[in-house]
Amino acid sequence: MRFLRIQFAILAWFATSFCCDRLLLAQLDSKPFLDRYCVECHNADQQEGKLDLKAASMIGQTPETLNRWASIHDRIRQMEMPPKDSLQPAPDERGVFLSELSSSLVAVDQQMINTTGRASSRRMNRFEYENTLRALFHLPDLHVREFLPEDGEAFGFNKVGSALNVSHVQMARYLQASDFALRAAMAPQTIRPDSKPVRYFAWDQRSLFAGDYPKIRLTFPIFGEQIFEHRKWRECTDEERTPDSRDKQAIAIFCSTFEPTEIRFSSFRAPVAGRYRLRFAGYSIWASPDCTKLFEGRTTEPISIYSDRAPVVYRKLGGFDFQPQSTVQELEVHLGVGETIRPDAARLVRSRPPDHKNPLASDEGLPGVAFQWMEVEGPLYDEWPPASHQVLFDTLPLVDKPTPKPDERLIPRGDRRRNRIVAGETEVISAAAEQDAARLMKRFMEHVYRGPVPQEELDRFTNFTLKTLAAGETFTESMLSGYTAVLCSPSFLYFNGTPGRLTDRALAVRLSYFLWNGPPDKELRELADADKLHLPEVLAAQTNRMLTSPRSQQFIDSFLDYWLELRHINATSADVSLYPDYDLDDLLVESMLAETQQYFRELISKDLPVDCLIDSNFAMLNERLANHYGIAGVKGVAIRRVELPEDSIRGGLLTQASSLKVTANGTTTSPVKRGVWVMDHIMGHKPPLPPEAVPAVEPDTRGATTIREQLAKHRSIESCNACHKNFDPAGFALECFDVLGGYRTKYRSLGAGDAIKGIGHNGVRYRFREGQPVDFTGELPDGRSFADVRQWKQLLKKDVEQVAKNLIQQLVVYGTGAKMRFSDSQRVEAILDATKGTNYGVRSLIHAIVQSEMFVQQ
Amino acid sequence: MESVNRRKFLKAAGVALSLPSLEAMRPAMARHSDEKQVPRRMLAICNNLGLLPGEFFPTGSGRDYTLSPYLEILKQHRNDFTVFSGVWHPDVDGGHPADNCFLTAAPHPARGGFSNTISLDQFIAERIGHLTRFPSLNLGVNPMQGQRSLSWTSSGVLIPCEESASTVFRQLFVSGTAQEEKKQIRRLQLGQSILDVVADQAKDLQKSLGANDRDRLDQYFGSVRELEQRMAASRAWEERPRPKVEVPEPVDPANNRAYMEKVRLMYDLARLAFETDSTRSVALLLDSVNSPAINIESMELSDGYHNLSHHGKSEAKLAQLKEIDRSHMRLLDQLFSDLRGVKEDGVSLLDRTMVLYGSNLGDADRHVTTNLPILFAGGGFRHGQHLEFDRVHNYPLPNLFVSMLQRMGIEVDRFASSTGTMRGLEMA
Repeated sequence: MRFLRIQFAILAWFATSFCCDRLLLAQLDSKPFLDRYCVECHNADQQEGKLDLKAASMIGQTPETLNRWASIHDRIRQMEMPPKDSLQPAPDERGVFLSELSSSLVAVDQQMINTTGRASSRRMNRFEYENTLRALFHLPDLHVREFLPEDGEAFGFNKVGSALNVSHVQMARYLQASDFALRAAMAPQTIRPDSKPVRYFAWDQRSLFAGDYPKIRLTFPIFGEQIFEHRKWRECTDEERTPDSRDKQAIAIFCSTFEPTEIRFSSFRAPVAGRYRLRFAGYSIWASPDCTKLFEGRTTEPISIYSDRAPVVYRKLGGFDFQPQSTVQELEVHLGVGETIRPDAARLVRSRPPDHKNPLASDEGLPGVAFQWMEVEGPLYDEWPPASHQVLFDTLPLVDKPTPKPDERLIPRGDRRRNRIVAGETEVISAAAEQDAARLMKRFMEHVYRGPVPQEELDRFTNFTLKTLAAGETFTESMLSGYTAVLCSPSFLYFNGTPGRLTDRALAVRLSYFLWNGPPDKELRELADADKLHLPEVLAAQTNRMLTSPRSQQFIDSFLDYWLELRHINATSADVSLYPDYDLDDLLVESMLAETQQYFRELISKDLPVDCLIDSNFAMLNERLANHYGIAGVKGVAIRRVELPEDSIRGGLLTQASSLKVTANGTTTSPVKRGVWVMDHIMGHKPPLPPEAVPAVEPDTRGATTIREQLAKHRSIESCNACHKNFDPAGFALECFDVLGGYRTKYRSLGAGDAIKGIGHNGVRYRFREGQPVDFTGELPDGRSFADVRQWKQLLKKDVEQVAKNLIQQLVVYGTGAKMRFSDSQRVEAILDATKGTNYGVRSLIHAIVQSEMFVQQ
Repeated sequence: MESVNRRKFLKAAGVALSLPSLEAMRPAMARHSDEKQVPRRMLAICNNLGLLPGEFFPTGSGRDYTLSPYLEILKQHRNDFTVFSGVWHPDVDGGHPADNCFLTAAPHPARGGFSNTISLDQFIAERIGHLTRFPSLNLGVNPMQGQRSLSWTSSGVLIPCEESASTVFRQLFVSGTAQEEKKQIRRLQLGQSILDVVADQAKDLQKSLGANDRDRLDQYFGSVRELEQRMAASRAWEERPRPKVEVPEPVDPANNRAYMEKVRLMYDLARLAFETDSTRSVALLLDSVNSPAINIESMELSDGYHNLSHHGKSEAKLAQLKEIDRSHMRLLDQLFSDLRGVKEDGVSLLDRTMVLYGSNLGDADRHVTTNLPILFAGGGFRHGQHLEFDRVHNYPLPNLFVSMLQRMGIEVDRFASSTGTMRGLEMA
């Protein structure tokens, strides 16, 4: 028997080798510190702040008790308690008390972790579920996430058990989603589909002819250097129409793709879901102001390629630049069945009736693009039957089932005659159904379950399948029912574990859902099976391998989606009247999201110091973003690393357009909202919630008063200022950025101010005015002041350790699916110590986290 | 996936619908010993961009109040509705996400670690859903799927909105072929047996888990059982014929701009569902936030609905918003008239149907979740009044929910953050 007496008597317990640990007693009256400074207010009679230090609820080894004491610890440490007007302890006295309390709490917390685990069991979230099915079935473009209800969120992420609930609806959705995925995995037909390249000429695409609109929304047939009025196209000579003349034929367009000028290569629709290679031939052009004469393009033009599925579901597939000379651009993409291809010359005007001005047109003419043809090669398979099919049915013989009538709703209007959808269904034939069922089920379960499959589990699902077969279902349907059951079973959906150190298999799962947001691959599984994964050097090597793999994009995207709230990037759009220059600019918003994702990737792959979150001397840009930021010399749609000028206001995460957009509402910016975002997400100081029923201070777009003036009134009230002084300064510094992160020195207004001439991306003449100047100076709570965002960033950078600490905490919550615990703080400190030499390199932080006790314990 | 399969599962989940006309149901209901009361129904509508407060709220209180410009449009029904001011869902803050709490009143929807709670329509469905083919209907106009809904389960999970009126209509009134129905029944049987297998595994797993983890698995187990029961109920309904209605199947507008047309279709559908006693509980989310520049008869709008709501006091935007709001009021006027026109046991359907119309935002321009615009009509209350509460310290709206539940014959004395029943509102 071992008797453990914690020095500090509030929380003491004993442990025996045969009995679970429990809290024994509390000897409050023996603690002079509490008696002297605290109990006067926090007692049974007064209960200031609803706290009675002598209550029975202050004793006991429960999470609630621990939380209560942890918050007492924090309030005392942050000098918030005892209150300023009360008797104050000497610094030494405070220090001794805190360190005693802290070590008690750590010990209690650790004890709890040992009994219940740091993380509770949880189900997969919808992203993990989708990534898991994609990996297991070798279907990288399977879409099942949409079947499942949105996941709950706790501590900022969709990874924590307490927020990942299940209802009868969720269950019904699992049945649907798994059934859908299984059918998508099956071979659509018995013979391998023809994948020879087929060329679709622009002149043959009905949907590339847009007529009856004002000139800038028309499409124009081109033959060589000739350009035709759309309606007069019938006048083309026979020579121009012959197949030999194909090279000279093209369709010109001077606007981007937007209703009703919705151009599509619609005589192609993906016959089956799968991988395709798309090639596009075309070039940029310049036309005379009346669009009657054609010249060589003056710039390159960005082209975005979307898939298009009725009713109005667009998915970005990629992008490239058309050059002044004809080139062929290639993309390898995954298409869903029935999807067609929608190219979009994204820079060109996107007008909304009744405004049809073109901001890119001048007396000299206007830019446009010419599409010649699209070539499709695919569906491409590495093997046949497809790998996904073999996961389910190995190589058992197949027969075609009668092709079901296609759903008319899935076919774009005007294209119904050309329907060449072949996506059918196949039936698997088994000569020895019972043996095959048992064999396939074993194969399948060992493939999809993350650990070894006990015999009784095999029997459970095999017997179910056989029972279904006996009830008269076909072999295929019986197997699919059995597989559905496996994919909806708790052993598949839940991450369970026993308290203590993770087994190697569990470690493989945790690591993989951390750095890939999906299941472990063969290499990880083999290392786990051999009990080698936990070895520090093996773990480090695997971490490196995983971070280098393209699959780590799933980690980066989903981590940023939650950490920085980037998943809300499209929650609001730029106000049409105030920001016509941003209106309908999809390329800009897509690019800003990609910037942040690639920036974070760059920090990881180059192990750059964590202060790059605050500031850096480079940015990840393409031409659209560079224009947005006022940086010259960047051409094309590809995002690449660009060194920034010395005095640039950009650099770091905080001045990226994505961060600035998710912290604004499309119409106005609020220093409060941005400031809180910076403090919470970047600095790790979550501000308290605003008092109830106090309406937010909202900016006024009439140009009469600035938000600074409105806030000044608010801040003059001491109870408001107590918190506002902490987060407002960050927001003030960022006030030099508008709702989409463009730099500004004056607020736009719809009332007072100076008129500005111009035409928006949306074809609308500017009606906004430039009003009050922006005041972006400020003062931190400690009195240090800054003149602009550059100086502010330098001040913030001095607190680099806090930035690192916050990033560690965010990554740990994401990676372990558990909140930060009181006892974690010493481990976080250890990671900080270990990575200080790399200036807290982001990759080094990830390595240190993976090796930390926090990560390798349940 | 086969459409049949999907529909059946949706239906099994209580999301979709189905059945016999009121009169045909009467004897069947009489067999239920717990059903002695007249049928009471609820239609709860939330427009998540609200209404311009200055145009909506009336002046004067009690029965002698003066109609506001918006309420003037509803004046023929003055004695059939009560208008509230100075009410809110306590602690439901956070701006837009508060629409998810319109029928749940779960506090702080924007806070980390937030979990929603059961919505009023589901609360009703759980208790009296067995009386109709569909326990509840959850409808939406332009809903941001997967993100927004009025309807939530008790474990805080979102129930998706059905946004196609024609789909709902078919589920309500059109039977499949005999072969199709047999196939559906087989599907449901198969579904139930899949659930049996996974439930067995859950039971076995529970033995090896700690207390915390067992809670998570209990939830799974409960969900499986609940779905099984619903599948069993669906199978029972499958053998009974659907009610016949004399109206053609609605045509879904292809474009989200046809917002008002979609609202009208959903109002018609809700009335038809009540008229045929296919369900007693309908929730309808008008997701204005997620709507584009919508079509309004009288004018062309310059901006998307959401952008307009951030009018920043711009006169041009305010004029357009007023026109939108007036269209809403006209549709509501038509709905009240239509419900008034249908008789059941000699009583008008409006007198048996509570219509709750309102918003999670008191002022969309500023994202304020206090001073909500709330209109409450029909259902057997003494209406014709303006119940005015403190504009600074608002009165809890969940008290209205308690009054509504009690009117439905459900014995409860609290819902979410209620403090009692609605002060000043009496049953007729």
